[in-house]
Amino acid sequence: MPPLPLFKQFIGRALRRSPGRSLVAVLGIAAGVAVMVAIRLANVSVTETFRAAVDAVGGETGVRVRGVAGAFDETRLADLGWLEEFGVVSPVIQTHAMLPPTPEAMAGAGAFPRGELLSVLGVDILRDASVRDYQVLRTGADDRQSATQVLGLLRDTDSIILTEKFLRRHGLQVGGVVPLVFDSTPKPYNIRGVLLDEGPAKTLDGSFALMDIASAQLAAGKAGLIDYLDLRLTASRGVDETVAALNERLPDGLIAETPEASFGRTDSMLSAFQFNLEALSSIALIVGLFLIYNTLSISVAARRNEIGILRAAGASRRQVLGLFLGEAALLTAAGLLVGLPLGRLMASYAVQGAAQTVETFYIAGVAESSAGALALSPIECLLASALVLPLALLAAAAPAWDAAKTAPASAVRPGAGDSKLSPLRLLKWSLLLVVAGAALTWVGPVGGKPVFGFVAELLFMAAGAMLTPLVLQAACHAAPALARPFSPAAGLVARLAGANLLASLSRVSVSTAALAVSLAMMVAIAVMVGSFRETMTYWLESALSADLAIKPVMQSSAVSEARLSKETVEKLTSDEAIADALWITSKQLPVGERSIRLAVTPMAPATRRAGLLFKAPRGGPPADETDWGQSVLVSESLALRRGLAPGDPIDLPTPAGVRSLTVAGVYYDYASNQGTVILDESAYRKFFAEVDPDPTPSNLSLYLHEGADADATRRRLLDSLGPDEQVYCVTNGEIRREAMRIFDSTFTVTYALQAIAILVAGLGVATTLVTTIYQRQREIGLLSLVGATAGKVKQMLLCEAVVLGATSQAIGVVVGLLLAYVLIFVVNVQAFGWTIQFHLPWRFLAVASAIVVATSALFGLYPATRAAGADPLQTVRSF
Amino acid sequence: MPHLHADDVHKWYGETETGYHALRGVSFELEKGEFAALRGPSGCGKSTLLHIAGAMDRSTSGKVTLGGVHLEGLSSRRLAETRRRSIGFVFQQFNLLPTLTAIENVALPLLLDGIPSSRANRKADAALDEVGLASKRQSFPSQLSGGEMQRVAIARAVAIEPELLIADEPTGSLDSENGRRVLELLSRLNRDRNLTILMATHSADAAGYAQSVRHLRDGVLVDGEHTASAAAVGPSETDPSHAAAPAV
Repeated sequence: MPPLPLFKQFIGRALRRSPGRSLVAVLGIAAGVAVMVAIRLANVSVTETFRAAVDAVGGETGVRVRGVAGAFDETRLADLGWLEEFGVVSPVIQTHAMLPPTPEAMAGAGAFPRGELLSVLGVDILRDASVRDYQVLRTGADDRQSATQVLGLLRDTDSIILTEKFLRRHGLQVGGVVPLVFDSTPKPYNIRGVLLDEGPAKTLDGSFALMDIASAQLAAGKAGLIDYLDLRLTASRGVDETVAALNERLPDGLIAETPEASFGRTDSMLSAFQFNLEALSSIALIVGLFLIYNTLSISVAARRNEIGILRAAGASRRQVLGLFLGEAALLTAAGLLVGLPLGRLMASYAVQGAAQTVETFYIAGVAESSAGALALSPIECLLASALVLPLALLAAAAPAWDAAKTAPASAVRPGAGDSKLSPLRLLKWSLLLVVAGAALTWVGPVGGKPVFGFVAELLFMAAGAMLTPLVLQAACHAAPALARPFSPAAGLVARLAGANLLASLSRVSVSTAALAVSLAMMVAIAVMVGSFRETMTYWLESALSADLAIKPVMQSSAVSEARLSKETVEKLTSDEAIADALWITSKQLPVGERSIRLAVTPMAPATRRAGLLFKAPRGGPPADETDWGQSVLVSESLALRRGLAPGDPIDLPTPAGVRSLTVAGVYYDYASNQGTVILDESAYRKFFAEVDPDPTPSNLSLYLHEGADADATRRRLLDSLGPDEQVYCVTNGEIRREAMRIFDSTFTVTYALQAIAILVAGLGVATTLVTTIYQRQREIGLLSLVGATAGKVKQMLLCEAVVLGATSQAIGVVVGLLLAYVLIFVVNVQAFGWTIQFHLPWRFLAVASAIVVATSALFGLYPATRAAGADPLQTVRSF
Repeated sequence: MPHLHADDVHKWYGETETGYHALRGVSFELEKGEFAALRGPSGCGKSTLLHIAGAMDRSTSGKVTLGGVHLEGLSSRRLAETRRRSIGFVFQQFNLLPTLTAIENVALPLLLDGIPSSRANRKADAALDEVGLASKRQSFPSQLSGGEMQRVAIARAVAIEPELLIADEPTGSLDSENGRRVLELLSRLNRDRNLTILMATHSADAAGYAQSVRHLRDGVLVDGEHTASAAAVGPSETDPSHAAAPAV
């Protein structure tokens, strides 16, 4: 290793002498680290918020008993007295409530205003006190209540206990009243006590409420039902052993599991989404590493003579390698120092987007509280450093090794030529990588994650990089022919530019390849997002066939189970403008390691009117041959995950046991990747009679008579419901706009990455040019000495910038389309189970290509101007 | 036993047979404490021979021995170590690192050899003192004259107490007065330290400071001659170009 004083003198001072170059590299790494850390922190905070909530709400629970299809009839408790042998048993209702949106929020939040969500736990407080840790105060003063006293507080069905944080946030106090919505109607609840910031109250940023179980049953529309029983184990046997023993004895329709299992079901849904987000965020890091590579290349090129002196003075290759790797490490460390806190800052914005997406699709009630759980722990910092530093050293290895190879004689004989490169041999490697990548696209997912899809992407990127010298060579040869028609002088300038680039092909190729890879990723994401958007638009056109859609205000998440009341449905469907109404109700069904969404609807009219797009059989199941009492429809994501096709059997857990039904059709569904089974209303009534004998709609689609005014009808419907009924009543167009808004916000990060890629394309061209100019100072000086004007020199260098930019973009577009193909047909299918129609955004590609070439020229302007302005005599003398 | 011994040294640039044959079987010996000059026209292979003798480059064939050690047999790491510990270099273009002060430039090979900076600085101070530049120790190369820069380069070369000092046209970029002072300095170091010096030069006058002169033409050593010691004779009064050949 080089001695420290030498490192300070040789590297430290050089860095200080060119602060601009160092700053670009530091900021590049900082941006990469920040984006990566922000996405990771956002993901971790969402998951941890949920996990902490599950853990805290679980309390001392060792084992949980639930119905195989979710909630179960409380009368079954009578036969479960033996559970006491295993420990304390506490029945629980777990649900969500919403603090209604304020009038300001209603006015300003578009078609879907929403209030703050609360996680509500309904328990028998006497039993539950030994399972969970509550500290309840009756007033703001320090008078802690015993379980019996708390029971007294909750004796009325409109009593509720809220957390300190929640009360403070909303200016409420004990003895006051809070309006809460469990479905669509706000009801006043009396605040009987305050939960100290301990146990379950600590989670979800205080958005937690405690009710008596009977009150919670009524509020959540679960009269006579229990969501689950929590057991605090007293027996000495282990948890797994107890679960097995309980499952032996539990009657049909009930199952025992650990509280972790319910977390796992949600986490497995979430992980594919989070994995993809993190994979995309790594693009920013690759961009940062590219800048490290470029900075080191410039540093080595500019100091070739000095490195020769060092070598002549006795520096070993290892010492020179150490010096430049040290430079990379220093720049990376500075990038980490800036990037980590910046990432924490960006995470507060990223978490809002990520948590909102997660809440919309996967978990209710995490959006508000996830931001509070953001923390940049030392472990996260170490993890980021442990990932980034080796990668940065890897990126720096090529230029550092190039420096180490410098012959001592180059101190007195500068201008060593470009190393030999065989474009044709690289072409063979490139083809080999394409074949290997293509083969990997056939391999299935690993734990639901498209790992091999991403490896194939990496191989395609490497293939594109290896193709660069050949394409660059062709571009250099073609440039004069393309420029000559403009003027003979332009032809000469292009010939010189081409010859210059060819003379340093291997060096220029690496920078161009890195640039091409950045651009390929930009193109791939643009094509994937564009294709997804087009597919969504087409699907929404078909799926949104109704004129008006109505759902309770509590249904702000795809996993909410809030419903409309019978009275509300009656009022809504009796309007004179309504020609037809289609209803659907949905619930979460735990199936194995995941939850699926069970949607219930009258199937015959639904298949006719709901505008479902069928993947198989094309055109949908034959209406007159399908027995909807025994058949279901499944969404594409579920079909792909489980390998289901029409005619296949599917096991559905119901309160009365597992029912084997037949898949009648597979339909496209881009609303969620959770996986949905649509069951006919009559079959549901039969199978779920025990827990839900009279299902009411969670969503209502209204079809108007020909010529009826949708807006006027909506106003009339809302008037008929009165101010106390809070529902979303939206037109077809509003849903479409909202869906596209959610879509765009989900992909906001990708647009930011596109902007970074274009910026880096420009910086890459500038730094590559600076490198080649350093290497060719003598030639440039000679050119001026033989009569080339400063303008001609500048034109020549600008021409080189354009050739580099255009070559990178050409490779970027071809490789990008290949990457997009894998993202669409492999990664998305494996991670989400979505078939997206490939859509080529010609206009975007044309505009982006023009921008990249123009940006390259723009960024090439500075080094070109600088080189053209140098004193030729000085330059030539200096060698 | 000679201190530096070259035996049938060949050097090809590019492919053998089709490339450029820079040295064509050069053999010579240098005794310990000898100050030898190497003369010949541009492109005759002087610098190539110096680079090989100075462990900066490898011969294509033939043997070079320094202090009994075969340079061809050394790994790249051992060659670097040999340069660091046994060989001092002085070039026409001075080759000082512009970001380092005079004392830091002189201490560079010592630091590379792992010598603690306090000791390296002491040695560098002594070397600068020896070349008469103690007052310029904190100056950067850009603040020094050409002659001063070359004296710093010589201080760097001798700070490691080398067995051999290689000088490639050391006066080529200097005016006559500065050239004379540099040659006198080399001559004094040769005498006081019994330092072996191999110096390439165009100038007959500069060669006059050496004890022996070898002539190289088209990669072949054509003859050798012994001159009187520089201390005794000094530069030729009859050679108008004397030490300061113009920069090329």
